Formats: sequence, structure tokens, C-alpha cells
Amino acid sequence: MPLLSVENLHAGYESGGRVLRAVDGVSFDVAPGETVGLVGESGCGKSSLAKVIMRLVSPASGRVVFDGVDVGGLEGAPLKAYRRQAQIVFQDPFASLNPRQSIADILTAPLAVHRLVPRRERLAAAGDALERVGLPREALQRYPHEFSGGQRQRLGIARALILAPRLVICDEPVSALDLSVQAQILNLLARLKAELGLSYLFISHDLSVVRYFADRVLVMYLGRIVETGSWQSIFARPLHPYTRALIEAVPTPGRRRHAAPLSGDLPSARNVPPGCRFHPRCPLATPLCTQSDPALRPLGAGRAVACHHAPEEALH
Amino acid sequence: MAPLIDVRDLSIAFPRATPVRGLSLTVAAGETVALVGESGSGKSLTALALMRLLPDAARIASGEILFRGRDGAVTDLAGLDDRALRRVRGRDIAMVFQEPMTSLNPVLSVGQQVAEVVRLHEGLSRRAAFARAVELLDLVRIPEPRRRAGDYPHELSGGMRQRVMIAIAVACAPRLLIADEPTTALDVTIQAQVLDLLDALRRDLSMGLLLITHDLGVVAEWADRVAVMYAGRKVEDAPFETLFGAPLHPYTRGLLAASPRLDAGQHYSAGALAEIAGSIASAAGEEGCAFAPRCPNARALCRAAVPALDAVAPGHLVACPVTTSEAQREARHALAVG
Amino acid sequence: MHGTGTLPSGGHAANPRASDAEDRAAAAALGAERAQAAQPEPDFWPNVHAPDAARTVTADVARLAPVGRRHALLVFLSNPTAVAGLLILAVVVGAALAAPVLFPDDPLEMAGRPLQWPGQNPRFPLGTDALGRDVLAGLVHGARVSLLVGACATLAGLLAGILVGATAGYFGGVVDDVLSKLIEIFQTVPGFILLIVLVAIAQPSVPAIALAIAAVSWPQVARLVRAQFRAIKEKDFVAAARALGFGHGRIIFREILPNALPPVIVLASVTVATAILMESALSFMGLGDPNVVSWGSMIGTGRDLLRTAWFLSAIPGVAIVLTVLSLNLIGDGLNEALNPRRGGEG
Repeated sequence: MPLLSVENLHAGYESGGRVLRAVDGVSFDVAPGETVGLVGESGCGKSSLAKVIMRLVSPASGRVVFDGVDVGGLEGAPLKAYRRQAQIVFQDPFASLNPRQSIADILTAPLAVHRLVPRRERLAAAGDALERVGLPREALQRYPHEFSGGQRQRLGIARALILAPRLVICDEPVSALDLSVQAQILNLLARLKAELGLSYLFISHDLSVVRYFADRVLVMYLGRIVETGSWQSIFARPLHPYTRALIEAVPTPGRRRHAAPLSGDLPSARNVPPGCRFHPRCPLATPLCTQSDPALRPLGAGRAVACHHAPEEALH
Repeated sequence: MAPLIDVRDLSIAFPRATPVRGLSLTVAAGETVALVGESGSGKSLTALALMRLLPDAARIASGEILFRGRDGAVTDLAGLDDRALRRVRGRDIAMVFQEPMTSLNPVLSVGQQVAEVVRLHEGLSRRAAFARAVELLDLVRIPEPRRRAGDYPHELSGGMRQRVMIAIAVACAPRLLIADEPTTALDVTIQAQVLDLLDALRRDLSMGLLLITHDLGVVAEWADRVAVMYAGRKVEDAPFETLFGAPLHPYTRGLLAASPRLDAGQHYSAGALAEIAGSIASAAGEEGCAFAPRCPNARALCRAAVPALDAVAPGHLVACPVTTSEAQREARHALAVG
Repeated sequence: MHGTGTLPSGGHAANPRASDAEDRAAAAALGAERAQAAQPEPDFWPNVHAPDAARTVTADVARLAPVGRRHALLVFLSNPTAVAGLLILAVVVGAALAAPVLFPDDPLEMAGRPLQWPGQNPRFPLGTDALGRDVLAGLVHGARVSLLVGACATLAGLLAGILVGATAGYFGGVVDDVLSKLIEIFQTVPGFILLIVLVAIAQPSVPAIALAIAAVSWPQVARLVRAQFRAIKEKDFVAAARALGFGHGRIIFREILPNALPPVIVLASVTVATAILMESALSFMGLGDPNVVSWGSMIGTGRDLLRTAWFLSAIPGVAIVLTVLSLNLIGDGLNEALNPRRGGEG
């Protein structure tokens, strides 16, 4: 049974009097111990999706099933119980820690709220959590501003893990970090996953990072998932023209001055094109694509693609 | 060929810190030079210094910025007064910043903003300047430029705004274009378009392009030569093939090893990424090599004095005595064997 | 008597982010780099000599100097005008506290021959009024009333303003609509008129006057707190708190409020000054508590003798001016010390 199962999820927010469908019919699973990479450009709805799964935003329709329980409508104690199981690590290490609380406050508060550890043992538990992410216990007495970006991201991870969750949503966890620190955080996340048997939903706009870190990849475009597959197959043989373009757009050593793979601008959820959402930018678009919206079609071997012109069978 | 801009031994100082020290850098006409480093390396300050746009508290403590003008005369920008600088800025040297939204005036249409620059530097009439603005918007590949000229910055996407900034920058066909993280705020498919555009303009206008970035992929694809900065100093300078094929400085090597790549076979399940331990903050107060606290090969001599930049091959400079002596030993060995 | 001790959790005022960006070597350089970098790039913390690797970090982090509120205090104390304000206020508070010891008799009782000028009689250094009351005794006892009213009114106003503003800003939606309308209604009525009406309805006593002034000054606090809450609740650390299952009360009071307070504290110091002015104005108009002496009532009773004995109005007037000035100077100093925009940022 999957740990997390998202079924035909719709969610949006109001902007200028209109409801924007940031997440528009998304379905996927996360198996226990799996890292699912979610990749897409800004405005594709990946962060909204994270917020709905975390129940920071309520879904408009569809289900978020965690360990067999639909968490979409939970309130009160059952919702609190879900919070212990699923946690989130944010992108911006400067905004995600309360500047007026000491590290001890930040790490012991969740234990107090969930009454997990007796009061006198909480500080020790917080110290353990720090050591787990490679920071010294002495950091408990400090305030967030005394740490560098990479160290703060470690603190954010320590906070997410203090309730011993089973699923951690990582929302662009290394995007704000310098390259030399990125690798440290990725290695830390990999080590924690192995030690604690975590499952990750790893959200990023950076294909290289997703390729390194994901077991399975979801490609999102304008509120929909347009392609899924294992990391090996997605990057070796992308089937959706958007996935292909994304991969081709990443500047890579050994490929000098090649032309941009896609013309045109990023679309906005305010103005969803009819038919296939990608057709205005798609090099393969035909009249069929302007009229009919392709469904996410399973191709076997864990692959699925939402494109009228993708091959019928995944080659593996 | 004589370089377009020749920065010699540039130091930038704040009252209590010197974030750029002894930096030398050249860019030739038609050449793309990348200045690479992480935040705190001093790369953006260097860019501002070349434009003489440093913040008030900062000053150029030493060094020369020799710029070769259209007539072939060389002037030291570091010593120019404000009036002379205004003639250079925008006309001979132009700059594109990371965040196009804050660089554009929100209450003027983008056409007006481009036209304003044209009028200022070329003294065209209002009507002629606007026509030229539309041409420039077309040059930076904005679709329907005549209609778009009437748009205000908030009506444009990030990518379009950056194109407008580029149109303003190249309005007077500058000799040198400095692009400070021009695509960092943009999505990957838009980034590819903007880099493509910058490169086409560099070629067509035979500009020198100084690309300031932290993204090694961008560097590998678009730069001819790369200067790597760490904590205010240049630690390695090489043609891109050498830098990516045979990097020598431990920092450069560490960066390349630490970055996950699309074309490499790494996956977390098969092993951890190489790490550079620590952070750039450890460079503060360091007497010798600023990278020594993080360097796997650090010796006593690294902490004793700041290493000089040595030429290990034509066009390849490295500031690491340990690597340099090893490279020389290997070269001698190869000679002896050969 | 509370004096300055009325501001809630003044000790938490320091803003850690504000402070460290100051003072440190390359912080200015960082500011320059960040000026160009709209993206939240990782920072260059020259104070952190610790690398963020797993193993080598321990000793170095332990060496860090705790900064934050202490630093804000330093900024405040290195500001000469703020210190001057603090000294003046200290004198006023000291006089108010010492009043029963210095002048144990009722300041409303006749103490000597009426209308003696200051310096005329060593027993009455500041003279006596038309009824033979000691002006110095009135001044010192009046300080008690002015400060008490100022402090209590501000405290009550802060309490109401923070509650309403926090509720409106945090919950948003219909709650916000209703509470915002309420704030607007209070703000459309001219403050002083409302104050007179309220005092006229209730009996003029010190608690009633303090409450009436609070009723006039809370909407400003509420608006400020609401705006702060709306901004801060969008931050990721609040999202993290919700994701961790924290209740609304904890999020409002532990997570958001401490971050929202610095501008409120600055406003509070000015509100104390305004409250003192309002109380004086009420007493001057004869709407004050008749059983106590206050600076306003002293000016009011001295008004008739303005030509012959102007010192009767001028002395309490100077006391009001100095006290209000000191509070404003303190407010400016706090603003300087607590403002997160100081230093090398953005």
C-alpha cells in the first residue's frame, strides 16, 4: 500500500476575484521509503500541491490519502495526528525559522505541543535532533541569525524530523543555497532517509538535482502532471515534449551555445489554453492538440505521459 | 589582441572590510568571460566597481580599470570623475542585473524607458527615439514589439522584463556588457532563451560579455574563459575547456565534483556527492589562503601567506602552491619519461 | 506607579536580524551583494567561523557571542538624544515616586501665603498659587497622575489594540472584515471629542479617564498590529508552525506576536505622551478628576492669573513639554534600535 496517495486533486486560490486552479487534477502515489521528485517551472503548481498535501490549504476536490486515511477533511485531533506523520522543509532558510526564538525553543515546542517527550527530557531530545543533522548541541542556546544559510537549512530539517514523521516534503530545499553547501544538504537528506526510513516528496525546479535525488520523477506543467517514470527512464528517454525541452534547456558542459529548445513564455494559471495545455509552446502540436486535452496515459514499466503524440509503448 | 577592459590589481574596501582584493581580469572584444563564485565571493561588487556604481560606503582602494574606448584611447575608469563616467556608462559599458522588476521604473511604459536611454545618449527626437525603441525591442526578440512598447513592467513576464533590460543595455551598442546573474531569477526554459539572446547580441555587436554567475552549467555552455573567485580573490583563471577538463584549484575541483549533473551517472542510491566541507564564512580573518580551512590538501604554507597566481600553462592561472608544484612535478616527470 | 514599566515584554524588543547585520566587518559588503540579489541567497555571516559540516563545527559555534537584544540596547544607549529622553523621564518618574515622601501633605491644601513668586520664599521654591498651595508639591504630585494616566491608558489601549489587531490580521476573512469596520468606526470619530463625551458620561475619576483615553488610542495600535500580522503570517516559519500542529493561540502569541512587537513598542512610547497630553487637556477644561492635582488642572487654575502670575501656568506647562519630549525621544531611539532595516540589508 502506498504511504501517500493523491487522487484527482484540485486546489486553487482566489486572485483578483477569480479562482486560479493551481493544482488541476493531480494523481500520484508515494511508496514507503521512496523519493518522488516533482519538477516543474514557477507557476506550475508544485508548491501549491505541497501546501495541500500538508493541509496548509484545503483541497477543492479530490483526495489526499495518507496511510489509508483521507486527510483532506480532517480537523482537530486527527489532523494533529497526521501532522506527526508528515512534515515539510522549506526553501528559504531565512524565512523558515522564527528569528525571535532560540533553537531550543524551536525544537522543543513541537514535542511539547504533541506531548511526545516528558518536559525534562525535551532539551536532550532537541540536542539529539541537532546532532543528527550535523550541528553541535551547543547550538541550542543560539538564535537563527547566528547561523549560515546551510546551517539554517539543517535546523529546518532537524525541526521537520523532531516529530519522527514518515513522509517529508522537501520544497526546493537546496535552491537557496550555494553550490558548495547544496551537496552537503543533499547528502544529509540521503543519509537521514537511509537511517530513518523516510519517504520524500522532493520538489525542485532544478533537473540536475532531481535526477540525482529522486527514485521516481513527476513532471508538472500548469497544474497537471504531464509525465512520470523512474529517474533512469525519464532522463534517458523523455517522452513528453515538455520534459524533453526541460532537459534540453539545462546548460551542460560539453554542449556549446545550443539554441533554446522552447520559444514563448511561461503560461499562467490565469489563462489556461484549451486542449493540451502545452500546445502553444509545443513543437509537435497538431490541430488535435488544440482541441482535446490528453489524459495521463500509462505506458507500462511505471511510465505515464499526457501527450497525443507520445509512443504507445514505453521502450525499456 | 589588446583587451577591451583590463582590470589590474583591483581592491574594493569598506570601512571595516576588504571584500575584493588584488583582482585582475581582462575581457577582449567579442569574448565571453565568466566570473564565477558563491555569495560572499565579491563577484557582484567587482561588477559594480567596473561600472563605478559601488555603494556609498565602498571605495576602490587600489588598482586600475583600464578601458579601451572606440577611438583606441585607454582610460582608467577608476580615476574618472562623475561627468566623464556618465559618458561611459550606458554608452560604452552597460549592465544587466539579476532582478529585472526592481531595475525598471513601474510607472513608465517599457517603450518609454528604452526610448529615454536612446534620447539621452544619441540625442534623437522623441519620435525617432521611440521608433528606435521598438527596433530594439524587436532586436531582443520580443514578439509584437510595437504593441509591447506600450506595456508597463508589471504587465510583462520575468523573461520579457529581462529582455527589456537587455534592450536598454544594448541601446547604444556598448563595447562591454556586464551581466550580473542575468538568468538566476528565471525558469530554466526562459533562461535558455535569454542566454541565447545575450550570446547572439555579443556576436552581432562584437561586444565583450562579462557574465557573472554562480551556475557552472551556464559557464560551461556560454563562456570562453572563466575566472573563479573565492572570498574576494581570484583563485583560478582558465579557458573553459581547461577549467572543466583539467581544473587545478581545489575549490574549483570541489565545486565541479559537488554539483549534480544531468549528463553524469550519479544517483544518491549509488553514493554521496563529493562535499566541500564548511562554508565561505570560514574565510573571515584567514591570514593565508582563504580556502585553506575547507581545503583537503591544506598545508602549513597555505596558512602562512596568500598564494600568488601562477601560470601553469598559457592562459591558465592558479593560486594554489600545492597544486602548482604537483603540476610542475608531473610535467617534469612526463618530460623525463618522454 | 508604573513609570516606564508598562510596555509589555520590553526586553524582547531586540531584533536579532537587525543587530548582527550592523557592526560586523563584511556585513556592508554583504549588503552590497544582496542589493543586487533579490533571490534569498545564502548569507555571508562573518561572525560564524563555523563551517557547516557535520564534524568540525562544535568548538567554533560555541565561541559565538550572543547578540540580539543586547545589541539593540547598545544601539539605543549610544544614541545621545534617546539617553537624554531617558534621563528626563527618569527624573519625572523619580519625582512621582518620591512625592509622598517629599510632600506628605495634601497638595490641594493651603500651605502658605497665596501668590508668592518662585524664589521669594525658600519654603516654596516654585512659589504658591492663588489659594496658597505649594506649586512644587502640586507639580510632583501631578507627575503621579500624569504618568499613571499615561501608563494605564497606554497599557489598556495596547491590550485592546493587540487583541483586536491580532485576531483580525491572523484569521482574516469575515472576522477581519468585521473588526476592520469596528476600527474604522472608532477612527472616523474625532478622538478628542469622543474622549470628552466618554468622560462626561462617566464620572471624572483617574481610572475612568485612563479607560476613556485607551478607548481613543486603541484603534491605531489595532491597525498597526493587524498589518504586522498579515505580513508575518505569510512567512514560512508560521507555515512550519501550522504544519507542526501548533494551535492558533500558540501561533499568535508565541510565533507571530514577538515578531510584530517592535513597531508597537515604538508606537506605545508615543501613545504614553499623547495620553499625558489628553489628560492635561481634560483637566485644563475642568473635566479631570477634581480630587487630585494634575498638571492640566494647574494650568487651568493658573489661566485667570496669566498676566500677573504667569509662572502658575508656565511651570506645569514646561513639565508637560519635557515629559512628552522625553517620551518622543525615547520613541525615536527605540525605532532606531529595533528597526530591522538598519544595517547592511536590502
